[in-house]
Amino acid sequence: MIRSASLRFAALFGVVFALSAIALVGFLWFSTAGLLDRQVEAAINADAQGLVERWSEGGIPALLLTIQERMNENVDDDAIYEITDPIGNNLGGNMGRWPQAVTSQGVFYELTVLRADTRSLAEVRRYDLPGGFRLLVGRDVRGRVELRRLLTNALFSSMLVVTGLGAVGAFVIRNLFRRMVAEVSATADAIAGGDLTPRVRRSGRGDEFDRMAESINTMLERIARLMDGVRQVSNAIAHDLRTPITRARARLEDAATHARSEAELRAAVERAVTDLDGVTAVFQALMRIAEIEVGARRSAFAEVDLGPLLADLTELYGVLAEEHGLTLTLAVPDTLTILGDRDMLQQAVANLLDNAIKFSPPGGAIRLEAAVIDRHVRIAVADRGPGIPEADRARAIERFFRGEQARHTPGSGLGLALVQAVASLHEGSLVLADAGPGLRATITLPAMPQKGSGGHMNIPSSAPHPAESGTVAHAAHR
Amino acid sequence: MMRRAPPFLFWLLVATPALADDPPSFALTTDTPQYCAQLAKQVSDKHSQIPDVQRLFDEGHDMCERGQIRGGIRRLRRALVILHHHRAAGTPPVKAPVAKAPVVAPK
Repeated sequence: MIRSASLRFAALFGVVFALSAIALVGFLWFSTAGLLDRQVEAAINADAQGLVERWSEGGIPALLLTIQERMNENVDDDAIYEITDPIGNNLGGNMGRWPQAVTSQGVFYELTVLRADTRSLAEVRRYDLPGGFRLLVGRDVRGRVELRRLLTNALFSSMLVVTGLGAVGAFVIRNLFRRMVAEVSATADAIAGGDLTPRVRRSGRGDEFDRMAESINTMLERIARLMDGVRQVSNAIAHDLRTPITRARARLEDAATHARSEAELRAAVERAVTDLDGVTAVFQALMRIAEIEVGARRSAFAEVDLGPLLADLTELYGVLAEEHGLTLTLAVPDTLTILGDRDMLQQAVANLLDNAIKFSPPGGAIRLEAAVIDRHVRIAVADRGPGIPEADRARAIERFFRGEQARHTPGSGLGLALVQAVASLHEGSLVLADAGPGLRATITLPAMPQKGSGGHMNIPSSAPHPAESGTVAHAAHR
Repeated sequence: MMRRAPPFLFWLLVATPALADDPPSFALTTDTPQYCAQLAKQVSDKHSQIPDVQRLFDEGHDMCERGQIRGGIRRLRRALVILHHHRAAGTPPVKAPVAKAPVVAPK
């Protein structure tokens, strides 16, 4: 039973509840009966102090007279006095003799006294006077005892009610805890058994248990998506790599069987090596994406001015665009600084330009622009190609995804996945949108605060750089 | 007779039931007919005509005669307190003596 968490929770609740109840009862007792006790003690002490002062002023005769006066005017009918000489003879008071039990000073005693044949309770205290005289001062506390009896009965009754409520509360908590844990446990068991579809049921009350169930379900859905992704990537790797490997094998086999000269054999081997280089490139791209996703390169971040970087890329890809009969233009402000990895950013923008050139029809225009908007740098590449259907845009950044229009175009389907990974590494994002016609791919990255400016909108001030046009012979990534 | 226990502990241990088994009690001498008679004499000796004093004296005296000692004593004490206050305030005393038979203990 000790291994039962629900029982432990219930017991803990019971203990806390009981301690609270005891504290409450103690406080009530202290505030009522305890207060009465303290009032009686204070009255006895004050009375005794007055009597001792009278003794100091007039000796035993004055003390006896004062005691007699106080007894005679004791309207509350509760005063008790006794005074004896050094050998124990009764000198005055209303007890008749000294009670043997009252032996010490400074201690309150409880005595039973007879009041007109009725037993009552008295609280008394002894005061020793110089010369061996002893003074006893007390009060009849029967009224207080009656009140205490009533209070005791009330507190005992309330304790019974509180105990019952505590037991019910502990039982409810135990059942609630069991039900919640059982639900989560059943779901976890089903998932451990290989079925990823079950989810933790929500009560609909929106309480902490519902929020926990929601968190668990979100986690399970994330795991399921990741598992799907792993499965798809595995399938894609197997499918995409089989073709070049099979082709290389067929070429080598054909050359081994049919080559009529060393030159033909060498040419077949070179073609097979090219195919296998493609395979190696795919693996390198995958490893690069994985490396970016791990985030290890973040430690190498430095201040990067994107202006010159984008200008260099425009110059480089302008030649390829020209070969395709395309126009590549650049619109970028003089300074555009971010904190990041220069090589990664260069690779990401290069992939976007590569895709744009590859999918643009001859005579089309490609525009590369960058600006700071709302403390973010936005780098956009827009083309006039066929674009990506809206239904495919979300999946276009997945590894090995290839749309219908890219089926017959060379490429591995890893280009946009790498761009997305680079954007994520810089705590940014990649958004694909319709450029009407064409595709507009926008990378958004956090900008570095500009000294002397609030990092507000910074529209390109310089005229767009003219770009060249040409033909592309690059591998497609889309 | 006992030393007084801490209040809460006392409540937990003995609560209230237990005066019956206590040791022999002390009978207070201020609950007796003799004491009542003594108080009545003190009031009577003051010769007060204050109406409240007169009424309390009559009631107290009668109750003591009927054996209601503590009630009678309480009234006589009140009468003494009133007299005490009047004396302290400088009110002139008294005219006629209070004529009542002395209180005796009921048999």
